Amino acid sequence: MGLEARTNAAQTRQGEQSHPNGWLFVFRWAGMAVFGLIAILYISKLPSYYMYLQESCLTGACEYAAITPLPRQAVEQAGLSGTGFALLYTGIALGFFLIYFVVASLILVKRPKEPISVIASLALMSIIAPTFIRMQWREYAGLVGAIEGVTMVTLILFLLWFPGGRNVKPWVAWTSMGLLAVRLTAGYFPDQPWGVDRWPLWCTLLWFVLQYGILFYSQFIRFRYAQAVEKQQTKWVVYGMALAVTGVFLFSVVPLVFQSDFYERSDPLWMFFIDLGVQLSILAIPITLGLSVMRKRLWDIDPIVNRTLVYFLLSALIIALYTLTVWYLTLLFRTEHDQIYSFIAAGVVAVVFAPLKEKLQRLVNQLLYGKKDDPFSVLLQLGNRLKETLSPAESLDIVVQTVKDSLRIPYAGIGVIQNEATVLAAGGRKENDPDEVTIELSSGGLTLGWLYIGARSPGESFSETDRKLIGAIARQAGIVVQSVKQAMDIQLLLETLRESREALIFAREEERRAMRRNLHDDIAPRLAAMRLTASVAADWIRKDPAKAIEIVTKFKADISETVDEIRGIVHDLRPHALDELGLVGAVRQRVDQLRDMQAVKGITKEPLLEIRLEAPEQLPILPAAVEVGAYRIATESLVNVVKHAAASVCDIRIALEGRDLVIETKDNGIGLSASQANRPGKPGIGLTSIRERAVELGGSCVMESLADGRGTRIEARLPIKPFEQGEGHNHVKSSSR
Amino acid sequence: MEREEARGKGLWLSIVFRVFAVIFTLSGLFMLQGLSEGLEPWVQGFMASSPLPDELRFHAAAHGALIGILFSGSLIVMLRNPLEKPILLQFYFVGHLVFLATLLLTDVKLALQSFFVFIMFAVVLLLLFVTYGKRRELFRPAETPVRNRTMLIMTGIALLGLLPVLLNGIIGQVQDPVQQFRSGESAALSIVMLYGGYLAASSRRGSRALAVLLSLAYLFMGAASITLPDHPGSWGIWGGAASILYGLVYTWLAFRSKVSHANTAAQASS
Repeated sequence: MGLEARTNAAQTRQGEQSHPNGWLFVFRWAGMAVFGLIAILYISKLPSYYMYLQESCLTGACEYAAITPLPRQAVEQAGLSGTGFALLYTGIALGFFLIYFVVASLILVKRPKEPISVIASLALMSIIAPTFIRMQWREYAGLVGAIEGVTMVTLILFLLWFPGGRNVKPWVAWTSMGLLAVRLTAGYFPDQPWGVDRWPLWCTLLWFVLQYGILFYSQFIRFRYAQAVEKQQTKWVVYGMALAVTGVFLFSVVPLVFQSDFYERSDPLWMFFIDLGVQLSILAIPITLGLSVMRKRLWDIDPIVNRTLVYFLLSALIIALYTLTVWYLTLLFRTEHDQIYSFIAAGVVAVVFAPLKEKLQRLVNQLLYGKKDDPFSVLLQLGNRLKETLSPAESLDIVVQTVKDSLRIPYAGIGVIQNEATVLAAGGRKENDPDEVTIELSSGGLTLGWLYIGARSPGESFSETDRKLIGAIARQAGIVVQSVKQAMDIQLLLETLRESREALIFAREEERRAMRRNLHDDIAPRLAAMRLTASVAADWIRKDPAKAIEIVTKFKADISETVDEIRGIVHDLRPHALDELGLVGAVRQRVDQLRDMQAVKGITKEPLLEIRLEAPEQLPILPAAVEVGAYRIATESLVNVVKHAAASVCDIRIALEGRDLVIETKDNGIGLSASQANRPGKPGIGLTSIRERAVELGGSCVMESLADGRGTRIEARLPIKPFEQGEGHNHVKSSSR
Repeated sequence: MEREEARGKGLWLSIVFRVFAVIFTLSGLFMLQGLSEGLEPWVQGFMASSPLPDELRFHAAAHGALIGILFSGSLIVMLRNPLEKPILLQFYFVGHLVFLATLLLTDVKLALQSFFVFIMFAVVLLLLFVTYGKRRELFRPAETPVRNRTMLIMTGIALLGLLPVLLNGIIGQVQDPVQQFRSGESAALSIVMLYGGYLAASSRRGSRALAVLLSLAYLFMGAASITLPDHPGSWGIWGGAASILYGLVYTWLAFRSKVSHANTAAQASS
């Protein structure tokens, strides 16, 4: 669809550009006039050609026949009369001309606005018409020369500009034009010392080599950088020309194999068939050129080339094998050619035919399409290459390289899904390539990544065989990506574990530092002061007991303060209430304390907060860390509600759900965002602390505003399974002792 | 003590073997005219009491290739570390047996007339066999043969090329016994070269040296054929060129197989 649209758009643009205004209009009509003139010159001479054949050929030299005339004896043997002979030859001339003419006309009709179609039509006429016109209009040498010149120019322009209608490189065009000008000038003055008739053979050969070498180079460069459609057009024409040249070569050379003086003897009957064969071979050019310019079934050229190559090579090899076998047997037994040798050679050919064909097919497929014909060998190669590497990243590179090698594509890449984003893990991609094909890489029903494949050329799609191979590779690539992903996940996990361990060590050191600071800065000076007070009190007991009593009273107050201080530190380490009352009891005690505070607040006009605790009577023995974490989360949430939520009701729920301990706090206050906004100082420290505590214990925390923004819900889930057995049992053991 | 005795005995055997090898090499080159006949295509009558008829010059080259290059060459190569190259002595043994068998089968009359040749070769082979330190290795090698596929294919190609020579040699010898086992010797040379190719493809110790000797023989026969393209028994210009090309490719493969052999050994040891 996309390709069709682009092609149509390109054609429209081309059509717009070559709208028959200005010089294009003149060019088009001039070209069509020449085309018409050639056709008229050719067809108008057919009646006289017929008469000539009927009257002169069977009795005279017949030197102006378009193809070698049959000898009288052969004509009589074939039962042809003079009229039949003339009709046969005229029919052949007309038949071949009509094929070229019809194809050329079709090109003109179907692609009227493209200058290259005019040139292509004239180039086609240049193949069939000049020889006939030269012989039949020999009395008008100037006209014949002009026609030959025009057809030569159009043929060279066609080879220079086909299929895009533009020059590949300016110097190529100028050199070709220069050579053409030299040839035309020499052609129009053939009798001059520098005229074409006086050219030595090497000079003519040099001209041909230079001219056609440049044209070949031009086509090669064009093909290399061409778009998909242009590439296919070139392929068609090259295919047609290759067929024609091979046919001409075979028809010309094969007779020499059987008879070395074939052309000296020049048997008219055989020469007639060779001429006919050559003409038929050259027919490949108009047919493929017509298909190419009219862009019909362009995409099917590759299979046709494939089959042609396979069967041509197969035929050549079979003939060579047969001949070699017969030759070897005659050499071996030192005898003349025997019928039995032919049988043996035929047997050898029969035995090797099937495997040879298979090998050739593979060879040609590999030549044309890479290695896609044999997915098994591609997968085998992929497997072997994967065995050589240990690194996951290299494995992906190998997959990408295999895809590139087997499909002969400009680029390929593999994207791996990581944290819901796709990361290009191997190969490369082209920015904004509309022709890029993306294949899902999955394993075990999960999409793991994507295989990106660039089109061989812009607009070129992949064939069914390509897609099958891509599918086969993608399935293997999915497994590779899965292992790579697992390796990456393990790497990530190890990294997280390392970070967690560092964080734990850091936290422990921080805690020890804080405790040391408390002991050193607070408790130690207090104790030192108490030792001093005690010594002072002892002195005062002797001197002034009343004063001593006063000092001891103060000393007692100091001791009480220090005890409180130590209790505070111990509470920070683990709330004492947890050991005495358990989690639920400790939270309940905290709730009661807050209720008492609310009761004190009740003296003012502020509304009272109703706190409701929902918890089971008895919880199983929890890991110490979970217990402390849960207590801190519950109290922190509760304090948050009291301080910031402006709520009238607060529900706390402590429950065991599966393997999780759930602590949920719900209020009907101002909601999360509003309460955060109203909070003075650093917003969200309490909430952050709650979340961090949950995550530290391997759990999760959800904080959300309730519907309509009325209230907040904080739910923390703390897993208890990993600690259940180890710590739980230890706890039971110690308590039973 | 016993070990030292055995070592001393092995040393003596090795020295005696080398002495016999030198004697038989010189005998092959000079007494059996392996050298002089081998040079016949280029230097006529070299070290010969009477000149050889012109039509036998190519046959003389075949004699030079068989006796001078393949048989004497095998003994020369074995002068260094003979125990490491049992395959060459095997080739030498079987080669002589092939020679005698061809003589016996193609020209019984001549074989009976020259019965001393059988006795002489039997003595030579017996002495070499008795003095060789690893007799068991000759026909029952401890090494597991690893067939080199490329070398085997090359031997197959050689078979295709040498089969006409072989048949022609046998037919020539049967039809014309006057020429003193000249055509038959060409046939024997073909069989010996093919057998050598088969042995060289076994990748056993010494097979590379054997392959190099065979390459030399092919190159030599190719050069002789091009020098004397129209002489009886000659392989002609095309046959000679093919033989030289084959010899070059075979040499390259021989050295290439050395590398692969070394790799295999390295892998096995690692």
